[in-house]
This record gives sequence, C-alpha cells and structure tokens, in this order.
Amino acid sequence: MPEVLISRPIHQLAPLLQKKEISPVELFNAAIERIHRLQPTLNSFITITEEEGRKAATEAESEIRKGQYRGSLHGIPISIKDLFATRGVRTTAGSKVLAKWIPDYDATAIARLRQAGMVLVGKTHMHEFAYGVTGDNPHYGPARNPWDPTRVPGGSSGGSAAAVASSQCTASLGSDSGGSIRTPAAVCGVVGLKPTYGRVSRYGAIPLAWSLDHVGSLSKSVEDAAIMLAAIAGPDPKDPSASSRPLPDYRKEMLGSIRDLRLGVPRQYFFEHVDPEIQKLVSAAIHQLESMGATRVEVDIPALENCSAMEAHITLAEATSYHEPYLKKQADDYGPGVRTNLEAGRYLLATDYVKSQRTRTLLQRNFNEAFKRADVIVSPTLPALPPIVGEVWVQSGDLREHVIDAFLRFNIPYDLTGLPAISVPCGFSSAGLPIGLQIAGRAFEEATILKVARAYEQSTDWHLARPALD
Amino acid sequence: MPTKVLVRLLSRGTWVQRSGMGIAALLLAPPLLAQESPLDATIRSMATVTGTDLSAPWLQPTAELVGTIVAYSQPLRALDLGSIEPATYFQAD
Repeated sequence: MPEVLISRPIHQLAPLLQKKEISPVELFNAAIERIHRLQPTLNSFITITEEEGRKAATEAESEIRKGQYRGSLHGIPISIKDLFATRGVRTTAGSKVLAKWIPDYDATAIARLRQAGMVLVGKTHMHEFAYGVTGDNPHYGPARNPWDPTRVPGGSSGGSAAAVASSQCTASLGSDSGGSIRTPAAVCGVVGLKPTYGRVSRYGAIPLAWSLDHVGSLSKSVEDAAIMLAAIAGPDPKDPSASSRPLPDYRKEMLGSIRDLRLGVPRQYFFEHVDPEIQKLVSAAIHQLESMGATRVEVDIPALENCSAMEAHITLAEATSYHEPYLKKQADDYGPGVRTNLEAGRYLLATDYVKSQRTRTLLQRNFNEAFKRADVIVSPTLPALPPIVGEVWVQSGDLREHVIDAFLRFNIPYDLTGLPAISVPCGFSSAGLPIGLQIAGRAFEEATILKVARAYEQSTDWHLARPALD
Repeated sequence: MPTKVLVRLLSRGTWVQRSGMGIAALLLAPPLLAQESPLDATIRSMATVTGTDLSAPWLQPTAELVGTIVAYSQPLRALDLGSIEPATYFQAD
C-alpha cells in the first residue's frame, strides 16, 4: 500500500473502504509500519497494539466484504491517548503509578469508537497524568514534534497530535483540561476539537480535574473532527455530567456559507503578549474569514484576567483529591513535577477553590454577553512557538514566560467555561513550525465552530502540509 | 516594567525552574543547613491539618509553588462577587 494513503483524512479513506477499493488490513499495515519506523524519532506511543489492531482490521475487512459497513470510522486506524481505559490493553496515563494497569472495561468514548468499527493502533504518549503541557515525561521519555523533533509536541495529548501529524494513524482521541487537545494540535499542525463540557462522556478517562476535563479529538481535517465527534458524543448514564441534548448532524450542519456569521475578536487578553509571527498569521486568518463574508465585531470579556489563578486552584485541589489514595501508597512513583503539584494541592484554601468556582460563573456570564454580539470568538490558540525539549522558557512577543503559563493562557478560558473550541492550522513560522487559529462558540454549538473552521480550511492549504520525516 | 508583566513573571512556571534546583540542593545538602522560609514552616506546621508529614525534599518546592499561587491569587481574592454562586454540575436527581 502506498504510504500516501495513510496520510489521507478519514473523509477520503472512508468511501474507498466502503467501496472495497482499499482494505482495512492494508491500511492498518501501513500505519503500523510507520509507527515502528517513527517511534525511535518521535516517541508518540506508550503501547503499540499490533495484535489487537490486526484482529480488528481483519474483522472490519470481513464485515465490509459481507456488506456490513458500519460507517465512516469502520476500518480506520485510530490511536488513543493513554489516559483512556481500554479493555485488555495496558493504560498507564503516562505514569509509573499505573504502569501495569490493564483495565477490564472500556471508557465510554472507546466503546463508541469500537462500535463504530475503529482499528486501534496504539495508546499514545502523554504528559504524566495529563498534568503538564510539553510531553516531557520522566517515565517514558519525551515525545517529539514531527515538524522539528528537537521541539516538544505540546501536551498533554502530545503523542496523539504527533501521531496524527506524522500519519502514524488517521485520527486520535485526546483529553483537554487546560488546552491538552488544542495546544498539541496547534504546534503539530492538526485539527484539535474540545467539545462543550458534557457533550462527550468522561467515563473511563482518568481525571486530572473533574470540572475541567473534556474528551475530544485530534484529526487531519475539520470534517474528520465532525466524524469523530458524532461517534463519541451523547448521553451516558455512567457520567452524571454527560448531557442528553440531542446530537445534530455535524457533517451536514457545518456545510454552507459563513456570510451571516459574526466573528468576535476580544479587546483584551487574547492578543496580548503574542509572538509577532503568530499575531500576523492569526490576523491574516481573521481577514480571510472576513473576506468570505463574516462580520468582525469586538467583544469584551473582563473576567479573563483571573483565569490563571482560577485554573491553579481548581486543578490543584481536584487533582490532589483524586490522587490522594495513590499518594499514600506510591508517592515515590510520581515524577518530581507532578508530585510537587499534588503535594501543593493539600495546602491551598478551600475558600480560594470556591472563589474560583464562583468566578467561573462570572466568566461564563461575560462570555454569554460576548456571544450576544458574536457567533464565534477567534484568537490565536497559543501565544508562543513550542520550545526545544527540556527548555521551559518561551518568548511570547514582549514577554518571556514559562511554557506552562504561555500554553495555558488562551486555552484555559474555554475549559473554565466549558465552551466548545477548535484549533485549526493557519500557517507556519519562518522556522517551519505550525501555528493554530482558535475558534470558540456557544455551549453545544459545535456545529457553528466546525462550520467556520471548515470554511477557513477550505480556503487555505495549510492542512495539506505534511512534515518531512521520510 | 508594566504591572502585568511583573504579575506574569511571578507565575507558576517560575516555580518549576527553581524547584528543580531546590530539590537537588536539598537532596545533596544536610537538612540542617537548608534555610527554612516562613512558608516552609507554615506547611510543616500544617501536618495535623492535612494528616500528612511532607518529607524534606518536597517541602521547599511545595512551599514555593503554594507561595507563587497565593501571590497571584490576590486579585481573585479581592473580587466582590456579590451573590454569584459557584459553577457546578451537581444534579439533585
């Protein structure tokens, strides 16, 4: 099978699979060959599921041959962030604590992807317990960026983004509590969708912070993000936060013109301390959307200034609460960075946690007001380019800041509010590093952000670029 | 330097770089030589509240991180939120 096939998005492969012009086994073999070839360079996987994947691919081939085609994900090679419980497959969460855990159940999103006919190729590398933004993992080594392997792929779903960008799989499942889908999507040049809080069940995803955790996808195209969302979204009695709102037909609703849509451009926060190359490309992307008929409006969101403090109190308190039993028994198995975060969570005030949760309500109200004037809000996904592996300082325009602060800054408002947001490629820096445009929308209006993202994608070639690894 | 820049420099990230050196220094040096900050002492004294004795190598980095978060939480604490209630997904059914 020519390798070019595995670099294609789901929406192109699915019709070929359905018409039996290509075989799921051939596609799987092409993915596995790339995984084995690129793993020493990129370290995108913690576990490669070659045996299970081959079995699933063979079954998919047999079903399709018999005319039992299940839909767009049938026979598609997919990877899963190692945060999600997978029945019979080791699930480490990037940790030594869970290094030998083999769950006897599937996370709801995994069960739905299996039902849709995915072929699992492996569990991807991640920052330990999703508690970080770079993918620099003390237990499994650093993951690396396909566009420049000396640099980080972002995190915490860095392995997933790198695997999709380098065509080791066609799409991947990730999680996002502070930008962990959108950050690696932006720096690896793929599409990252964080749906509304409650749109996708969190059951079986090892928590970082329950009230911030979201499940979403990393993919090669916006249409693929819609396909993945349709497969994993919906109510789930196992997750009390999962919404029972009806699911739209995302692929249908994202079609059409953006002529009547209003693009909100925030007056504050999202355009402060930004790398000039990122600023320039995001501004060009906004102009591009305007040229397609969307109307630019300015919006105010004053409560944004407290996002960092809110995120710190909520994440530290909730994460420490979850990890307490493990800390009692296996504290020495944590890496130093995560261990210290977890220890610190014991010493913050409950009143600060509650104040943060109350300020979230204020932030939600601010966004609700902004969304009366705008249909989507656009911004850079990140203010800085990804650092070299091991380096923790980045230059965000006029501000030298820690990579954690930089990579959380524009992402965290949408984890705090639970609003849906997508990162799409919008160009490359002069050093050849991908840059992401973030598009956020009203709660449960994923179709609108997909529509704007798709319209932008269709008007550019950025999503077609592939890293030179061969 | 603008105020905003100063606030950002006092960020959680600042702790990360310093903590690596802090942990290394404390692991290599005899514990009595390490100078204890007021926040270190506060955290040590909270053992009865938390039910956990924080071992020496973790005391200083933890104290530094807590100190950093407390420092940049001051504007949050100063907010008057009136009757606004916490965001929650708790459902009574």
